[in-house]
Amino acid sequence: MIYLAAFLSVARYEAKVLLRSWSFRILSALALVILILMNIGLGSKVGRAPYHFSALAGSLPLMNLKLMNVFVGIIAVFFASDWLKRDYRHDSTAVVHVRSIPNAHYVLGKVGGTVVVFLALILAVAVIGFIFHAFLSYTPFSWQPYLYYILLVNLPTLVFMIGVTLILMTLLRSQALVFILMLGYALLTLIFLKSHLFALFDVFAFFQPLFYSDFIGFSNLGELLRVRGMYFCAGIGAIGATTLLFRRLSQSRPANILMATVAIVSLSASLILGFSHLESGLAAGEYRQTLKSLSHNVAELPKAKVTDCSLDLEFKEDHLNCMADLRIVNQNSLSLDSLLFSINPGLKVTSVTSGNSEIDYRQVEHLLWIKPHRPLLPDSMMTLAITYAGTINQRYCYLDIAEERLEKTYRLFLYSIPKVYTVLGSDYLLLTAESGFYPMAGLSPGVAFPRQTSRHFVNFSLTVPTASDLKALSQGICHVDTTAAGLKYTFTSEQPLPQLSLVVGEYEERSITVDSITYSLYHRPGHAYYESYFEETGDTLTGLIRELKDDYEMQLGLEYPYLRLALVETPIQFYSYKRLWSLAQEMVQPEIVFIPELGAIGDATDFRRLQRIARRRQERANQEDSPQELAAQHFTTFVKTDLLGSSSFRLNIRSRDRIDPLSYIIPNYTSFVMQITSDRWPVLNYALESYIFSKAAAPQQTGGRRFQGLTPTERANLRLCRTSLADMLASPEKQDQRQAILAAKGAYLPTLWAAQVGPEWFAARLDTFLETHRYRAIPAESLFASLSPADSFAVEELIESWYHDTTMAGYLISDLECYNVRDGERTRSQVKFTITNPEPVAGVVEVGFRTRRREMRFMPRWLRGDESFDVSRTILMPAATTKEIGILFDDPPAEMTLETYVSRNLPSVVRKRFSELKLRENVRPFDGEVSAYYDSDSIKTAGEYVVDNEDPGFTVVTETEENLLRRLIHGLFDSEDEDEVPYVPLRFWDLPGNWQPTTASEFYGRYIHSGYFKEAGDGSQVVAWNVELAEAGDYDIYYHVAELRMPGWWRRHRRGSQDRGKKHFIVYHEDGSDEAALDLDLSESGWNLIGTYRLSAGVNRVELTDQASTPFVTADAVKWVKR
Amino acid sequence: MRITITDLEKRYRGGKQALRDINLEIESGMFGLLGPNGAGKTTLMRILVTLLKPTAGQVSVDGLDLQKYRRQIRRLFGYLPQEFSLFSRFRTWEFLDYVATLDGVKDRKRRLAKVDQMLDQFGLFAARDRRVSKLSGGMKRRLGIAQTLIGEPRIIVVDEPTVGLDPEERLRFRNIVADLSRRDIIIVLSTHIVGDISSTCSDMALLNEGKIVFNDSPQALIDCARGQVWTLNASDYELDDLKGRYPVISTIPAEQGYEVRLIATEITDRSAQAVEPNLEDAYIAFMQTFAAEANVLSEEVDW
Repeated sequence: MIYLAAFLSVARYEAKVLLRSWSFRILSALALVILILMNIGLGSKVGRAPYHFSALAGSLPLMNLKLMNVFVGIIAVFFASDWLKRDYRHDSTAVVHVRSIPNAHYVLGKVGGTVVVFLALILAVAVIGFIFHAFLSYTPFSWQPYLYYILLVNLPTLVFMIGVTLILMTLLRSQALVFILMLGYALLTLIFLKSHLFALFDVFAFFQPLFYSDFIGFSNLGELLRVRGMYFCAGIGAIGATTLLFRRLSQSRPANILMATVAIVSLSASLILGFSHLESGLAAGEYRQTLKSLSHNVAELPKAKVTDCSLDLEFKEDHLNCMADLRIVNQNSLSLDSLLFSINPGLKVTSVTSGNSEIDYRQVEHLLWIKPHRPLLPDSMMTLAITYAGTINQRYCYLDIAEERLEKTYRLFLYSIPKVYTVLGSDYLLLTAESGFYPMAGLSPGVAFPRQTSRHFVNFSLTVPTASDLKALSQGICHVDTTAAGLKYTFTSEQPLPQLSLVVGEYEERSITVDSITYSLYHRPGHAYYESYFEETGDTLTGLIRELKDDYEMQLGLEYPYLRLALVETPIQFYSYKRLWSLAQEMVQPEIVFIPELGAIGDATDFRRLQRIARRRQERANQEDSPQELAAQHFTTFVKTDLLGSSSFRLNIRSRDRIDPLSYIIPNYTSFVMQITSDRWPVLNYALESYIFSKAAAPQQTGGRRFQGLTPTERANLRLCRTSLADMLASPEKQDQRQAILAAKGAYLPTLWAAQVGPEWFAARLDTFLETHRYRAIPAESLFASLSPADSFAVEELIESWYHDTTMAGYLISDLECYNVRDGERTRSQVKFTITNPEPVAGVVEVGFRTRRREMRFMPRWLRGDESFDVSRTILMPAATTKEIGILFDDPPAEMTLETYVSRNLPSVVRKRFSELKLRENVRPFDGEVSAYYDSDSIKTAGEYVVDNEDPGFTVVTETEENLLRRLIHGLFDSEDEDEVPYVPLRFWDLPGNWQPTTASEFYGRYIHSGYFKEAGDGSQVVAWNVELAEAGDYDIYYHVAELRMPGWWRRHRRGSQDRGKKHFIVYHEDGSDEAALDLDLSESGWNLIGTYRLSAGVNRVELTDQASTPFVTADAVKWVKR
Repeated sequence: MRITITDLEKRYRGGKQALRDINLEIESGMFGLLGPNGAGKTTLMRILVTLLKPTAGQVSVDGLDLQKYRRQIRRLFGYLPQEFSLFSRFRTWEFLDYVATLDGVKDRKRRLAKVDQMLDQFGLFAARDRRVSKLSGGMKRRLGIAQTLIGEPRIIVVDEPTVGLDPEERLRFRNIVADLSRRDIIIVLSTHIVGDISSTCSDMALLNEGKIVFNDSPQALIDCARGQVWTLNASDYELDDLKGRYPVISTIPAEQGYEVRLIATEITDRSAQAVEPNLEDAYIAFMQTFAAEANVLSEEVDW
């Protein structure tokens, strides 16, 4: 203690030195200014950032403190190494070193001063953020995240960076070297290591799953304390070691011993924490592997069917006590000696009784074997009472999901959110069937995918006592009793359900009953952020709900089976996955749809932005909607986008593709009601569900191509060319891809099926079938019997080919015309085109049109929730067939969309816009199709040669590597695990420096409409088309001009971003070579003549340079036509 | 107080032998350590103030070993290093306040009073709130002395204190040191400027190439040189010749040529007048003799 004054003095003066340093002042001021601007832009009421940037109370503080953490971490390296450098280099520090103060006190004083100044800077940021957050933003406010984030994010990073810098500086004695090492490590963690090895290397906690929820705070506090503690201890240990190795003769042995102890203990603690973090991550995987292999061993065993399940459940802290009364029946042909159930392995069964007698049982992890006194005979039933207690082991959840997918970060803007699948606490409880909180017969579905994916439909009842300020939410009729201890909730389901969920928490409720269905919204107090936007809804809500429901159900052809529908807000950490065996994911339960905290990951939950968009639209259209109309629009947009999935509206362009949880209500119509079982085609049920969903879903969006190059369907198609669906499902790798492939191919089967048997007939029969086969498992065969019109239709062959073939249909579209015709007295619009499927398998396409009249409206389609086509046709394309299609319109069509589903076509959706239509007199109107056999020889034209960029004759002559910086930036921002796709996105705002292939329907091609593009250059980067000509002669050489359509907003912002101006060719001919230019301003989309040249037989060549007066240049196809 | 240095050696990591076989007794009063640049003075000073560890030998202060009792010994020392340029971001008073805290003056009031007293004593009060970086060379040096004294040390080690000072500041500094030497403390003054020593030191040592080559009073050094210092008159042409033959201490322009002061054992070929040597003459004469002997020695060894 005698040196305390000296220690404080050193710290105080070190802080002063730092504060007076201009470089520190400038850097800090810069950081503060940037953060203030960010807060204005992203967090304040005037900001226009996407909602998920700042939706949650934990968002803004995390954004500020996380960014500041990286900044402070890096500049701390500079300043910490600087004072040590000064101390070692300058003679005058000697006047301090000769004074009687132990090294420990001196170094700690210096460190203390530095840490305090940086902490003050962090606090300043926190206070600025706090002010914006509390007073100037719409975000709900809570002070706790500020405190926790500083302690968990900033402090460990700061101490670690300073500590490691000091020890390195002491050992290496070169500030430059230390700076390079530390900066290198920082960049390595930020760009390459990211969240590898459970974010062990993530010193800045940039990728570490860490987020504060108003519901449950941090869901992974233990993990955070381990990994952040590791950095903190390592920093302390390094500081301790620095005091020992400090280059000044030591003077205090006790201080040295103390610091040595601190160093050893801290470094050991750091190692232990690091190892335990790593081990717990790895152990989770191993444990899950054990559970999986246990499951697979019993997957084939027959199981009893649970018909009734009555649960009496109590919970306290993270402990659950439950008694389950089950009624089971043996529907197998053999009697059952022992009964297999599964339950969460964290719950331990304490007794099993039947009637009044105890029954033997054995629990191995999640498997519960019950041995009744007598075998359970076929078709006989028995009752069981199972008592169990314990906690929920989250590792049991999602055994069918691959580890890589489980470990994949749940990322929202700058936030990495830890995933939880179940919550068990004293004031919040969230249990779904996935957690195994009640015993299920056999395995829980999907664990042994593709086996045993069927679910039992069970009559559930549930009782749960809660504190009086909490609300319990589950399926069925709710009855609440008041007891001395609080409340007692009882739920009884009215129809058999495949699963049960339970949520208990502090909730506010809003309800409305429309046509005997009660619609409720449950959210946390203080989370009614939506309220002000819907104040004016008033009486219109009933009509609105009715209209939305009726529309949706008409499209689906199904009816909502329950009497209640509740939207329940859940903690942001609650995560669920898309499955391969069901459209249902845990976000949606029978009668209940979970909405992530404050709708943060929703696509249309940012009502403020919706309002802004609506206002802007009103201004443009010079009209004014009443507040009621506005509220109705917002409501419709939200319901269609986030609950029905029938609108493609997205406020968050990228997040949806990366995040699994969807709150689409559809499983309430499909998964929870119907169940088609098939051992041969385990994904048949999924295919049917996808088909039903697609009936009311928005048309496939192609906007994502701008960011990812290809749509998920296109990626799936590329893979399906190589691997069959069966093989794909059997391979455990790349689960995300399997998901996308199945989603694409699932809906396709019934579509193809319907096209073959007649869409209307198919739809009507399917609706009836589903209506009459509710709440039970149905063998696929009975579905086939119902949906096959005649014996001649071999549905099983169709499915077999769908399941096993890699051959896909491909479509060539030609002679597309649109004009007006006289149809009797009327003038109508005619669209005609020829479509050919040269491939040996049948396929189906859908052609949809939007008419001009409806396009003229000011309101975008997604906003008025009207994305379905005005006219659409499904066209069955048998193998090797060509069809001439004619469609007549009363209103002139504005745009045609050709959806090719599962096909060889790239892009898989072809869009064509029609301009002013001309009247063609004396042309007969034609509506229908004429099909003919496709003869591949008929289209060949003698003396005509085409070389496309897909052909071997096309070469990129000068290859250059993309520069390092660009690659680094792409590495930082592009998603980590994108499938290797041969085409890059056509990003006009991020043009590649070398020739890159991309796809767009404007490009020439057979199935694949692709071309190359790059930023304009000096003409040195060249591509070439080489053709082998059979005979010499005069040839017209044409180039295929692709008139690319840029996104509207891009066109508005960048003039001259069209591929315009002149294209510069070098044509090689008999007498050498000539330069030739093609003026695109004078050219039309399609083939344009470059010139006529005398060419000799053999290989001839045309080159295109990257010289252009516009920002980018494209290369597509060249055609030689003999004169 | 007494500092005893016994068989002290210092060899740097690169192999350079900075000090060898140093034996010294330093008692209260002012002790001058004189030697050319690179002689090892600063190394010796840094060992004394516990900034460096000797390779061999022992230093003790009143019987306390320097290596074992660093904590106590550091309390006794005040040190003014050769370079003194840092702490530029401090104000003058802040710097003194900082070092006073390190010297254990805990009470803030007393500390600030002491700081002001020091500032006043060394003529820095007007520059109290000025940044250290804005002080003149002389003021910095005075601030250096002030920081040395603020903890009331019993031993003061001053390394090359007058380098770069103008004559006025140099005089002022010498006076300050002279005043200090009247107290019952040890002042070790290391310098290569003879004038720093001649005025005040009661005892001194000459250090050359890491060795003590002389250790006695300044007067004894002067005595050694008696009879070796001459003055004579010379023309331009002769001056060049003289410079080639003898170490010339000074040349003063005279009516016909120069009055030359030089070192020589004897001068036979022309008229010269033996004069009473001062300390500077004695230092040069001594170093000349020493160098010559060393040459002879090395030649003998070479042979």
